Amino acid sequence: MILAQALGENLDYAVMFGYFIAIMGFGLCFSRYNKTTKDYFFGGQRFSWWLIAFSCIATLVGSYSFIKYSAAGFTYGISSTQTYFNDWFWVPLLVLVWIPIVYYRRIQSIPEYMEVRFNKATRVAATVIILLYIVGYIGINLVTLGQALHTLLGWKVMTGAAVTAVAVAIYVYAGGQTAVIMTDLAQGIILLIAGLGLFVGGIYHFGGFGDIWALLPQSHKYAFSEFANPPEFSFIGIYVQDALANTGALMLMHQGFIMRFLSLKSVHDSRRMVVAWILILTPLAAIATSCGGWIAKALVNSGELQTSAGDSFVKAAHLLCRPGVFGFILAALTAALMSTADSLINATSAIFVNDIWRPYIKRNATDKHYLIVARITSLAAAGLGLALVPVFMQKTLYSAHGMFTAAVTPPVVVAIFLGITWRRFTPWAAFATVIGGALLVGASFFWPDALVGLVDFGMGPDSYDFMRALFGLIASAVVGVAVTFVTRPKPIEQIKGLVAGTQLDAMREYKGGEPNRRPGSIARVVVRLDPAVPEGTVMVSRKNLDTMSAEPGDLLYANHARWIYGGLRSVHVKAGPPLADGDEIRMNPADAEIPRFSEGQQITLEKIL
Amino acid sequence: MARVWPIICQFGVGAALCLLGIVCGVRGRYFDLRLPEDRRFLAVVIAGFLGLLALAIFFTFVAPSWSNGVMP
Repeated sequence: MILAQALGENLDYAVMFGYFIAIMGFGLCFSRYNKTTKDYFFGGQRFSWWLIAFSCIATLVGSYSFIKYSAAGFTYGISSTQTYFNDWFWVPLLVLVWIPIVYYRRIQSIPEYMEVRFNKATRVAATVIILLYIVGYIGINLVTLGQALHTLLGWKVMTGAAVTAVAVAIYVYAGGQTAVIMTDLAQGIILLIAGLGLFVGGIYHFGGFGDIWALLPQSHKYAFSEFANPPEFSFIGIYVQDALANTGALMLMHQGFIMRFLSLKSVHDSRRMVVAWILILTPLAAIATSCGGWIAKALVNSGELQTSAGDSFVKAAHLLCRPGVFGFILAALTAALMSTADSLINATSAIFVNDIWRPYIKRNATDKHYLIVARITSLAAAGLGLALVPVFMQKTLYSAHGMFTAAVTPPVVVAIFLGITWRRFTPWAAFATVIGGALLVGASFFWPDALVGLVDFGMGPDSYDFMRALFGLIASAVVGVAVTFVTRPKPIEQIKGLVAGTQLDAMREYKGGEPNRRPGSIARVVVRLDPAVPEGTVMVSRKNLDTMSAEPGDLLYANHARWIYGGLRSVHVKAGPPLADGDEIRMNPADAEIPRFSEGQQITLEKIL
Repeated sequence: MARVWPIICQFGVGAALCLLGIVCGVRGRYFDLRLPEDRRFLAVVIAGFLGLLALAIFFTFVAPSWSNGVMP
């Protein structure tokens, strides 16, 4: 991003401002859905798979993605998409082990898992590390956005960062996770349309994809770089840093994603969600973020453009788009950044309330109290991120955060990975993994040749930024395994529902009874409000229970009949004794108030567990 | 081989990760292959894996040879 002057025109500015106002207003619409901390942090656990899938892709495509991957696409070709194709391999572990554990055990934060699975010391270490990691990332997101807006619109870095921080903080403060998810849906769609629109525009400009392909150098046409060449963009370097460390972190330790998974209406929906997110939307995002670089390279080789790698996205977009459309592209760039920042702000709030305020500052307060603290923390997190903008504008501190992230990510990922897959993994081994692993990775910054050089596949110092991840993973795993064999594991009774092989125990605990996993269908029923029905319970006919393969006592999900709401107007209830006949659902008015169901309204009903 | 090793590494380690997740699911019968929906999910995991593998092979051994932009 070294363009010398602002590229935007008045119409582009108008589109950008319109976008800021629209997204803030849209987010604010969801403030009425937050009555509890469960609503504020987990959106009431009511959302459909497709909504969460879009929301995940908006968070995944974050700060600088368009610029960074277009630069890689310009320099290295289609192998720039490698980082987007690594996630599928983690899906079985995510869907069959990790999500059931956190969802059914009602784990609210990663540090909380660290305490129930291991011990308090590990929780404290994880809380400190993850908070520093997230708050630092909010600051870096705002810095990168401020720099992008400075380049594109001529704004001061701090002005761009402040405008964004205020917009995001206001809608996260008011709407919590629901606002994050709904605005991310809009932002995910916008960034995909803009990126893919640019791709289609490039094809149209050249007259076909074959012509773009012909203009790319041969070296740009491979799915992967060579195994260990070039050192700064080798396959193995990207693989260990992204496929193993970063994707592992995203799946297992990223509080923002964990909260998103917990916002699903059921664990079962996580299966459809990951297929839509990772197998469909992620490849589209890979093209959307990288294609600017490919098109710019083709434009350079056809003699139509001169650009550096860092400017390739913006210059290709500027060349191909008319005023106004270019503003839309800039809005997409902003969307990518905002949709990451909002998740981080909400995640910071969740960790602060659940892991600091509730256990150490004010125990046993009302949920309303924690909700107020959560809202204030959201504002504070955005403010703290903004305060870090001048700090991170100094390259040394920006690099320091990068070093810190590189040092702490592999140990925490390894601790969670071993914690969920290996019953024998002990509490003190987890603590040693987190602290010892971080110290060893930290040491690798001072003695890189002696430590990272051991696993650099002969690529030398240029590869150390990537290969440090492999060193960190190996060092942390060695520490964890070694300490496990000299310390005592927790008895299996204490880790039921927290480790692979005990997911069914977590399900039983969640339901308070034996899970009903018989396949059933969705029933359509008509709402009848009945104050005599106990709160949290509904009554439907035996015929409808049979349609769902449900029994009295099973957990049900009542949803607005229109799928487009994505679960926004829904509620979880328990099946009560069956009615004699009919297609009605008798429910307490208090339960109907949450999704705003009215007397006589047709809704859908399905069995969850 | 410099172009083949990435595929072996990506999909070799990837297969091991997938297998670990499936074994961890099957242990304790949370992932119960007697249930149709669990069998369906296993099929989707395998199909996704093979689809990505096919894509990687295609963009390693086939597509790069379209050097003149003419697609066969």
